Amino acid sequence: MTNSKPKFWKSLNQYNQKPESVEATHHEFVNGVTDEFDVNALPDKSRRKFLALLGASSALAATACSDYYDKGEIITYNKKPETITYGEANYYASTLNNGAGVLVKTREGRPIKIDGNPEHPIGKGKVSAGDQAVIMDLYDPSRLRYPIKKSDSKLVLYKDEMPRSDWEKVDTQIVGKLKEAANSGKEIAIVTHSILSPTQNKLLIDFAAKYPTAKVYSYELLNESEKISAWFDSYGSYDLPSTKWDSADIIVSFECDFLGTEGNVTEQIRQFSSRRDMDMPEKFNKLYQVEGNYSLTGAMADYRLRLTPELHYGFIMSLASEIVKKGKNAYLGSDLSVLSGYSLQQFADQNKLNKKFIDELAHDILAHSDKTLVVAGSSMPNSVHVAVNLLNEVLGSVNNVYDFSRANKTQRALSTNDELKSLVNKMKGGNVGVLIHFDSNPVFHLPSDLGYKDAYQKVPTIISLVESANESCQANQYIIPINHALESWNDFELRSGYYSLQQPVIAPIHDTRQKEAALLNWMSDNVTGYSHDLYHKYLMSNWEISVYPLSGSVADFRSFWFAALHDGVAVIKAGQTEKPAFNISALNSNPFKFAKQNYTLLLGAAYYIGDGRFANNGWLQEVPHPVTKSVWDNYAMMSPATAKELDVKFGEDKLNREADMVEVTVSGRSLKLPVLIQPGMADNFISVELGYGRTSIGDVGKDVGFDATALMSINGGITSRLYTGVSVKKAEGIHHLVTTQEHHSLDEEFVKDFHLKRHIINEYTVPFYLDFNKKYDEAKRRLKAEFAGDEVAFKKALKSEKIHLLGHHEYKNHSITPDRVYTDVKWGMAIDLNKCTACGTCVTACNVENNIPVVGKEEASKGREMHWMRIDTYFSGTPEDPVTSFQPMLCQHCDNAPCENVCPVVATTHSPDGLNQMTYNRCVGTRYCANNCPYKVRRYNFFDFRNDFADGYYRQDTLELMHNPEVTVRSRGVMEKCTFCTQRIQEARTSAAKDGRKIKGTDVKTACQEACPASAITFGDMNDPESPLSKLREHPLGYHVLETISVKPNVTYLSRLRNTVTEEKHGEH
Amino acid sequence: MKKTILDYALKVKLPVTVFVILMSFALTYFIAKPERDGVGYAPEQPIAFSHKLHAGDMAIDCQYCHTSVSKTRHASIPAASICMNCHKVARTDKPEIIKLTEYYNNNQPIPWKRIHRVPEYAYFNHAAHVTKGIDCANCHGDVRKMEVVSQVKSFTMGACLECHRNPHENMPQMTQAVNPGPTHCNACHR
Amino acid sequence: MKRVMKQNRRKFFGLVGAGALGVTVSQLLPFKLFAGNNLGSTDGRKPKVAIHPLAVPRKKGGNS
Repeated sequence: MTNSKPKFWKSLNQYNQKPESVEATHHEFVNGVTDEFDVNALPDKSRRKFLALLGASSALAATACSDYYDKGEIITYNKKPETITYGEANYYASTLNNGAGVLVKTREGRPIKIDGNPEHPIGKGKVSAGDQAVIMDLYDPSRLRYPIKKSDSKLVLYKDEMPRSDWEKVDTQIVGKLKEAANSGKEIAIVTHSILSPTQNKLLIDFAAKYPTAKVYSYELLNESEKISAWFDSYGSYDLPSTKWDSADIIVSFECDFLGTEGNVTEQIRQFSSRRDMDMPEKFNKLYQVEGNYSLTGAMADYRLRLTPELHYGFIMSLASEIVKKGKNAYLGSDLSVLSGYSLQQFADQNKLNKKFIDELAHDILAHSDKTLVVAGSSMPNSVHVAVNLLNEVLGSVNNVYDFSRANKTQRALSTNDELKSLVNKMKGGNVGVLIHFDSNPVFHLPSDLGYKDAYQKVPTIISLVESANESCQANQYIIPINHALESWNDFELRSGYYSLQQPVIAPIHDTRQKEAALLNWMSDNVTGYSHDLYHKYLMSNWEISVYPLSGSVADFRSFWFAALHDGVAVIKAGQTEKPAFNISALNSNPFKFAKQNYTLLLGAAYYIGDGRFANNGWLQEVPHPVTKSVWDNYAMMSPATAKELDVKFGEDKLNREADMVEVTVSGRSLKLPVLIQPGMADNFISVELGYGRTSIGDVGKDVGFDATALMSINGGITSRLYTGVSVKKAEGIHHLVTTQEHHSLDEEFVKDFHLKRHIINEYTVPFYLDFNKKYDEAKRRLKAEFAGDEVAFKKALKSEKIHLLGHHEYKNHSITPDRVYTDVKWGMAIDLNKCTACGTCVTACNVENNIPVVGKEEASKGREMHWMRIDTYFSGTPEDPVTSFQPMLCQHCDNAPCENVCPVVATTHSPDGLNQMTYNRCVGTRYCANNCPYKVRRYNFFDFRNDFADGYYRQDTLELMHNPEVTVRSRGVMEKCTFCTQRIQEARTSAAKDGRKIKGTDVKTACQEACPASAITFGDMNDPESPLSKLREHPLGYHVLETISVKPNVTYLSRLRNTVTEEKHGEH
Repeated sequence: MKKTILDYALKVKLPVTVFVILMSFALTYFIAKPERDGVGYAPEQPIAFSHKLHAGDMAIDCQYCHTSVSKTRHASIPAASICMNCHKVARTDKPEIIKLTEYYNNNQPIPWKRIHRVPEYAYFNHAAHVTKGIDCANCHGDVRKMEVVSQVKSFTMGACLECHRNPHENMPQMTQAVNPGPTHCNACHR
Repeated sequence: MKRVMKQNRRKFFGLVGAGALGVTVSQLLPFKLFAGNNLGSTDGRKPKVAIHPLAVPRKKGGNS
């Protein structure tokens, strides 16, 4: 402290250096401020006191105030419908709009699940993956809820909100316009998809009678017109016989994806798989696939040849000529000189084909000639189909593999290209007065060079009868919302004599109309007299005059009608139909004249979203593509060699999703697409799926993928979907393509054929198994004698012998704890990999049954897709010619479950009937269980996906109606996994209790088991030695995945038998 | 010796804090017991329906109105249409019946106050219990004597498990052997 | 001495205030949105669940 006056000072006290002031500068706080706080010393009206008082009184008030007992209200019916019992499901037989016979399960009036109708002769109780998911489209929030007249100039404040009109105005105006057009000679054009319904066809004819200028144009993006016209050229009939896939010993398929996208896939899978019964190995069929694309059928084939489609014609003719040369020709018609230029040996040498394949193929079709079915895909041209018909004739199999008494009916022929062109010209020229889009989307589906998009906007009156707004609803027009298939009446005749009925299982949930009834209303005199019943009556009266008389029923019509509605189908006895004679000149009149130039482009069908009409279905967008495992996208698929040549890459980044872009150009039409490299494709061959790239659709499907119709031309290439002379070059930019192939991989080192070495996949060949059976039977006899009397020792020795004969090692599972004993039912599952064709129907059915949320592309790229069941794909062989193995993987419900031991809150436990239970309300989201699961089948809810996906799309009012009330809807932070459909097990237990008996294993069918078209999944009680499941568990071909880690899984897989000749070594071990 | 802060903390603050915590825990536990197990809740209903009159004096069977109790997992509150089976003509002058008829005619469901509630993540199955011969009164008490229905039994998971583990103790009227109820998670939690 | 804001600063704050006022008023303008429209109503837009009176139910059938 100096005595001199400070230079800077804050107060006179400081200036004068008062000791207290100087002392104060050394302290942070003024003296006295931080002394003890004494409430009572505060003045009465202090702030602190006030706040304290406030806090205390509000706490007190809170406790006293609300009725904290309150459990809400319980609201029941006012007038309960007779048919409803709370908690019990009702079933209705109906048909979907593609003709598939279904049985719809409803709860309290709401449809919640679609399965196959067991009475239906085509589906026989099964439907496809797409059909399973169609239930979501009923409740789609993007469905139109009221009629719209677009040109009404109301102030539209939300861009998505369309001006609501009223029915009276719309009806009166439309009828006025129709009458005006008919009177002034202007055409009334009705554009529709292919007609599958005889009554709908009749209606269109009646409509044309009422309005004479009406003309119907029907189109289908994915059509079979080449095949149908080829059949007509060959046999003079448009009625193609149905194919008996289960009668064929050998199937030779040329670019025909019959297990994936072509024809009636459900029936084809069932019939194909019925000939792959491991208990009858000598009856196994053999599939030869010749294709440029890598399709699901190709992945399932026993033998596959990569061959670009331009060469298929030559191959088929060469095969036919080989049959004739070997003297096995069964065709008794006129001369076969058309085959003279062809030689199989020459063809094989010229195109450097795999000799083994050619030899096997020739040998097999000669040995089984009259049971060989040769088919070609619908993308192939007329000439190829005619050649296929010739080959079948030469083989002599036509009467065995086709059923002429049940033809695939065409109710109305599709419009030809010329007819469509003339429609566009008429529209451009102002000669069309009214255009009706009858549940169709021509702007999206028809090739852009047809000019439909610009021409249709010139039509003065356009009416679109659609479920949701689509690309064809752009111009000023009337948009009439129509009923979903589950709200409609109709009939379908996909095959002659099978009349399926469609009945509404729910009254229309919005203010929509049955499209046929709307037409009937516009044909009637009372324009405002629309009722849902209009078409119902029309349908009934049509059945009375055209179906009932054919039925030979002894009951009266009404009884017959109600029986048909109950069953869902009326089967009319088939007459005997003879096979027509083959017209060999069909080959001369239309020979194949295409040679491969540059690249070949195949525009294929999407596996699940159809021609794009299901693009807004989140489940279908998210079920992985069966071959590439991609979701939410389409792309240009190409072989690794082609990709190398173009210098494009895919999936080499950290998240395996960056794809280079290519520009594909077909005669001046271009499209930029991302690349997906798929082993097994032919070189210089690109395949792109149609149905993507929709722009005018709900929020789920909008701008998903790329619109490949941009590459199509109305004049076609080789066909409308197959083009050659295509140029492809690398383009700028990258795209994120999400595939789930590498998600949830079992934690094994990725060495070549690791899946075989580690016994994840076990495969043998049919010859090996036949041999094994002989040796095994012999061993059984020998050991029975050796261990006479001692059953236990005999069984043990037999098991050892079996393992040894199969070429495996025996190992012992040591356990320090005693095994738990299950006295009652113990649930288990068996999946027969011989029958499984990886169609994905089980995955979709599980999604519907268990309220699985849709997560979207971004989350799927992080491996967060929530499918409880998935199909894993493993490749062996080489990237040029891969051998693919599929394996459906789900929770194995292990006896020694590694997930149960590690849950810190005991949220997952084991039930006394063998299930691994998941208790959602206990789970705190540690995710330790998922970490421990060796099969990676546990799914974690990283978000509340219902809120998170597309701005809460799945929280909207209608979609909450779709949930299965027996299954918890999981929220954020909770782990979930397959429960072996525990809700169905509980239901079965309740039924058994009501009947006073114990539950049996066969009482329960899980959703996946019920849905599988190949009946590959069996579920039941392993404690019952007589049950089908027990027999499969004990089967020599049965094995468990990752058996050696001793978790004791309860899903038995039955090894696949490939019907190939060579001994496939299945890896060293 | 000068009193240190630690002294004060240990001798006064610590026991007081511990005492306050224990007392508030005990108090909360007992005050909140009815909320936890629901016993004693007897709310006023929109229509003063008396079980004593209908189920007791008139001896109408429980299952006449609560129809699905032996068929499915829900007991189901009867729809207004079941009431109207009789009350279309019976006692139409009474004010409560007039209220009922109004609801029925206006297509309004009656907003009954819910008394017995098990959380949604527990899927209680009525049919499984009723078909085994368990009487309604075992869990719901003697409803036939209640003017206003109240909850008499605790509906906590512990109470359910107690009966599952010792069925005979809780249901002495069952003369035949009763199997203990399932105690594994999936029986109720899916 | 009472400090008064500089003239330019006052003008600046005045402009900011005017801007804020303008934005508020322009946001209030679409009163048409709130008045007399039926965008909030669920009449005819709420989905209704009703069993179709003519539907014929059945038991599950098949081999279940």
